[in-house]
This record gives sequence, C-alpha cells and structure tokens, in this order.
Amino acid sequence: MIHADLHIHTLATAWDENFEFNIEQLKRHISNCELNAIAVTNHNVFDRSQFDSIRDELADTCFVLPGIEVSALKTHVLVIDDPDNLSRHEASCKQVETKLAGNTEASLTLEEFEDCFPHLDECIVVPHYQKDPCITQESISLLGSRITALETSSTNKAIRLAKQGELSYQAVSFTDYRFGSDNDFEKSSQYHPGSVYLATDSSSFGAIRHGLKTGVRYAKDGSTNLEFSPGLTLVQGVNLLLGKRSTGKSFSLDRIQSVCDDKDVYYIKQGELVEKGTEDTFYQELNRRFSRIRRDYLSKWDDLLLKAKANGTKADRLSSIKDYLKSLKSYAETSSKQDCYSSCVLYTSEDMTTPNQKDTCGLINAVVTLLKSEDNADLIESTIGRERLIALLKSLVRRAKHERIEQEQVRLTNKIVHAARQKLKISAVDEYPQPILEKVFEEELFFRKASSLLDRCWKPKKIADDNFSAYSKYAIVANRRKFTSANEIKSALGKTSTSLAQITKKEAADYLDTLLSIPEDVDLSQGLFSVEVGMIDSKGAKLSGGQRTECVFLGKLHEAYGSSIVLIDEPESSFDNPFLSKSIASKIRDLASNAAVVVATHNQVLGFDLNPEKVFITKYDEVTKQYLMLCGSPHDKALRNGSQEIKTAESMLEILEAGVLSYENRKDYYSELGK
Amino acid sequence: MKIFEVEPHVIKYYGSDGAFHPIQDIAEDDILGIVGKIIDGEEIEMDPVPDSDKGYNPAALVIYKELHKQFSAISNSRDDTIRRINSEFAEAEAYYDGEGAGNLLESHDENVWDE
Repeated sequence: MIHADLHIHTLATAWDENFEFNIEQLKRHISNCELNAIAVTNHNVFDRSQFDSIRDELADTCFVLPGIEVSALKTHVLVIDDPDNLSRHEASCKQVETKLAGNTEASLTLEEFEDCFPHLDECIVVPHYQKDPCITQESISLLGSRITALETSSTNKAIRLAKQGELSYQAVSFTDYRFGSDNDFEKSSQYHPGSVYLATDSSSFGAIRHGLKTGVRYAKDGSTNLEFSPGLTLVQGVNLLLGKRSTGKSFSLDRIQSVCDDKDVYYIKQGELVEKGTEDTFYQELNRRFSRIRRDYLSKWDDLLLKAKANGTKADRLSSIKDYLKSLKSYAETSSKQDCYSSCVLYTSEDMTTPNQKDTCGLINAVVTLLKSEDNADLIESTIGRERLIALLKSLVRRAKHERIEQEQVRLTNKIVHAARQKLKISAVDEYPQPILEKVFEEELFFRKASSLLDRCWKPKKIADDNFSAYSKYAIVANRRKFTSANEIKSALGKTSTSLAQITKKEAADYLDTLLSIPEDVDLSQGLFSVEVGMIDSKGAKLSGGQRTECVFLGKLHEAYGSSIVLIDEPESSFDNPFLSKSIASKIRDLASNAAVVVATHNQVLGFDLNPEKVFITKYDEVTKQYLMLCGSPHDKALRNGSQEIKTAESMLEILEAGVLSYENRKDYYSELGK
Repeated sequence: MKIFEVEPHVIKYYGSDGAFHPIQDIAEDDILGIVGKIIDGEEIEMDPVPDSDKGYNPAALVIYKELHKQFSAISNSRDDTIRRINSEFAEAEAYYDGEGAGNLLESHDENVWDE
C-alpha cells in the first residue's frame, strides 16, 4: 500500500497567508505519517527550482510529484503531473500564472484551463468537492473522465461519501497544509491529518494515478504486503500473474500458498472447475451443500413421526388388541366363578383418567412476563392495570394448585387400586383387562391422518427458488417428489437392515407403516419423500456442462470471501469471454477489496477487465535456464526485479494479445467489420 | 350400520367378511375394522346390552358389555378426538399443502462447492 498526501503547500502566494517554507516540518510530517508520496501543489504557481530542491532533499524518503492548485471553474483543482514531464508541467503552470496575474478573485474558464493543460488527460486531476470553493455539478460533468478523484475537507467526509457510493469518483482528503506556517505545526488548528492509502505498492506516477481512481483506502488495513519471494510482494487488490506456457505460473501460485501457512489462503486450482462440474459430482455437491433446505423442509414431520413411532405400526395395534381380547375372553370365561375376591368392585375397576393438562401454568408465566415488563409497563398499566393482573395471577395460581392436587389425587388413587388389585389376584377369576380401544382409536386416527398427509407430500412441487439472486444467470431451485426406488430411500435414511423392496409401489399407509417398522434409530423423515436441490438457467432449462462449471466457479468465488489471499489459476480455460467479462471480473474485483487476489491468466478479456493493481510476469530464460519473475504496477512504464526490467505494455501485449502486431491486426480487422 | 346385534340367546358382531358371528369369536382384525368405520364417519349401531342375563352365554355377555361400553365411549368422543388430532396436523398441513414453506433459499449462506 502506498500512503500519499497529494496536497501540500511550500510557497506563500497571494492566495495564502504569509509563511516561510520549512523543509524540516515537511520531513517530520512525512516521517510521522509514514508517507510514501507527496505532491507539491502551490496556489497557481510552480516553482521548479524549489521543487527540485525538495525532491533532492527527500530523494531517499519519499516520492515527490510536481503539482499545482489551480483556480479554475470557480473552484480549486489540483493538477499533478508525472515527474518525467517536468518541463511541460512547468510550462503549463507558467500559463496559469500569466492568465490569473495574481488576481485572487479570478478563476480560469474551462477553455482557459484546457488551454493551459492540453495534456490534462494524462495528469492527476482532483477538484475540491464538499470543500470550499466547491466544484459545481455542471463543472464535474464538463471535466468528466478527466477527473481522477474528488478532494473533500476531511477524511470523515470522504469515508461518508465512499459509504454512500453515489459518486462516480473516489473521494479523498489531504492535509492542504502550509509547511512552515507554525512552529508547533502538528498542534496547529489548521493542520488536520489527511492522506489516503492506495492499493498499490509501486510509487510510480501511473500507479498512484490508477490507485486514486480505483483503490483508495482511508486507513491502513493492517495487512502487510506479502513477500513470497525475495523482491516479490503481493498487494491487496488484484495481482495479475501473466506468462507464457511453462514459465512457472502454477509453480508461483503453489509457492505463494506454501509461504502463507499462517494466512488464510483460498486456492482455485487449474482444472478442478471442470472436474467438479461433471453432472453427478455437481448435483451431489449441490445437495450436500444445501442439505439444510432438505432438513428444514422435512422438519414439520419430526414431531408427527415421533408420535407415530411411539404409537407403533398396524401390526403393533393388532397385537395389542389381540392381547386385550385374549385377556377379556379369559376374564369372561372365569368371571362366572365369582368368588369373594373377584366380586370386589376394585377387581374390575378401570384406572381413573388423569385430567388433561390445562394451559394454566402457561398463563401464569405470561402474566408474570407482563408484570415484569419495564419497557411496556406504561402501556400495560393504561390498558389492563397492574392490580387486575395481580388479581388474575392469584386466581390462576389457585387454579393451578387445584389442578395439581387433582392430578396427584388420581395418581395416588390408581396406585392404591393397583395395589389392592394385586392382592385380589388370588381370585379364581382372571384379571380384568384395562380398556385400550380408545387409545387404539386415537392411534389409528393419527396414523391415517399421517398417511393422508404423506400422500399429498408425494405430489411434485417446487418448494424453494432463489430467483437468480445468488448466481444472477442461474437460479437455485428445490423440488419435492416421491422416491422412485428402494435404493434411493435407503440412501436417504442411512443404514437399515429392513427390506424396502417394492416399497415405492405401496400406498401411503403401507409405505408409512413400513418406515415405522424400521428398528434402527434412523431419521424417518428422510425416507418420506425426496427433496432435490437443482439449478436452472434463465430459460428454466437444466444446466449444460459448461453452465455447471460456471456455477462451480461462481460458488468458489462466493466461498473465497473472507480469505486474506485468494489464488486463481487460469479460470478462463472453461469459460467464454462474455461470462468472464460480465460475471467474473466484477466478482473478483469485489473479492479483491478485502484480499490479495492472484489471478494467473492468458486471457485478454480477464486481464483487462480485472483492472489489476499489480502485474507479475513470469519468463523462462533459455540462455541461463532460469525462471524469472518481474513485477510492478500495470501503470508503471517498466516491470522490475532487481536490476532486470521489461517494458510493461509490450510484455502484457505479448502475453495477452500475442504481441503488438497481432493486436494491431485484430484492431484493424474489427474496425473494418461491418463497414 | 349395525356392528353388534343382540338376538335371543346369542350376541353377534359384524365381521370384516360382511357376516355376523358370535361375539366370542371376535378377533383383532374385526375390532380394528370397526375402529376404521368410526374414523370414516360411518354411523354405527349397537343393540343395547340385554336387561337380563338369562338365556345368554355368560362369557359372551361379559365380552359384549365391555365392548359396548368402549365403543360407546369412542363414538361419543369421536368428534373431539378428531378435532384434537386435526389440530396436531394443522401446522404441517398448511406448510406442505399450501405455500407455507416460504423461500427456504432466501438467506442462503451455504458454502457452495468444496471445503
């Protein structure tokens, strides 16, 4: 990251209060703020000799850019040029000086401004915005794409504007301080810290200009640039890794991963997208990932199945009726033997029924909640009144006590009757069977109700649809349907020894009965019906192989969020250029706002659309038999590693466009098409 | 339909084969069949328990008294029981029959593909 303050004053002009420039103050400022770059931007003047001396003085400390703060378009505009173009900058500034002639009220028109800076397109142009004198909306429109960023009067304002996200430009804030105007300058009311961090580690003019356009940060993000090889560091943002075949790109990615042991690295390897996009793997993985949907959808069955399982199967019901009838008949046959024991009323008495659980306790809790409420106490008081609530609480407690006593009475009575019956068993009359048919009726009713619901759940139905929200081009949908084979059910249930042969041909009642007869502790709801997660394209069609691979990649990018380093090895091999341009580039850029993303590619669309902060080029030197890697900002004129350097534009064109000639030919070809 | 018939000297039940048989022969299938009829809403009829035990097999009479009592209780509480069981299914039925599932994918944050 580059830390830059691109608005500082070193010369008292008619637009300033008088001060005498103090280089030591500036040095302290640079040192305290750990600045990597500054721009000298005096009001409507550029003093070449002073600039040269400042630059020489700071040569080992900081990159110094030549600039000027111009009164134009009724605002102030910072114009900063490449130090390699000092002469033309000086000439432009002379024109400004002449046109304004020291008149502090004057302001250049757009024409005059353009006249002074015919090379404005190549400069850093930063007008005041939410800072006096503020640029008008009309002037912003007039300057258009020539604006690099907008300068606000404070970092807070810049952050607020960035959060609102409504500006087409990045908002920045600089100190705008006159160095020398105060001996105790850090404490001066006029000095307010202002600077920006730029997502680049190159101090070239091009990299800074590009950073102001796309990579402004307002605080050091804590991430240190990762050095993965001597002299080679990754920056937060997009790091483009270019190179011809077999020049060590994948090797470099592996190396980055290996040196990042303590960091959170997410690696999308070459070829794995296709592998995971095969039909079976894709849908298995999709359903595994979205198993929550299946679980959630089936969850309404949980309590019902628990009860159905406790009630038992049809065979269990028949068996209990059989036992009951056996006892009843046995009792009936021996009852004529009436003796003194069996003639006791208790001998044939039925258990008393425990009173149903009422909602009294729940109501007590609810009233206590109302009485305890502090936030809504006023509303409760005005609507019901605390006194009435207390009276209600007392009545409920009395009733609860009564119910509890009643239940206890029934329990104890049954206990005593059972004990007495035990003693009376010496009778020649067989024991009187406790009635069970009401219970059987309830259980059968419950079972039939469950079977009927299951039958309806077998009707195919779409149960979820993300409406293209996650993967714009593709929608995730979930459907329910009846299972089509016993194997499918077994696989959904997990391990069971029960034979499920022919189960799919059964009616819902028999089907459910078979499931309830499974002795193992399995999640029965999984065996009721299938919930399948799938994906469809915008035409509602099932995905093709290529589309599935696209989904895998989008999913992986989604998954990579939160990782501090993301490595992507030649994603283009599986995709067409429109997909790379429309869907992938912006997602990678999003990812790069909080991570160092390294993309190895040969693809010109991706290479261009990714708008990288840093470029690495791998080469194999046939003479020395050595692999080389050179790096820098794509806006640097040359990429370097130690003493070696190559021209940025030519090298990138060579790899992404098969060279300048090929690029020119294509350009000509396309421009001729359709004429 | 009549499920129990009291004739002079003999008490019969309506079997699952569609014929009447002596009550002593009633089996579990027959009982479950009658339970099913009550669930299905068929009006069941049972002759009253004879006033006098005379002329009847005492065992048959004991069995009939017991079954008559239990099926009467079931018939009387049928509607309440159905209401109670229906309420246990109400939420699930609304969910699976209607649009109650909502959009289960609305807040999906699954990590899709690979660890």
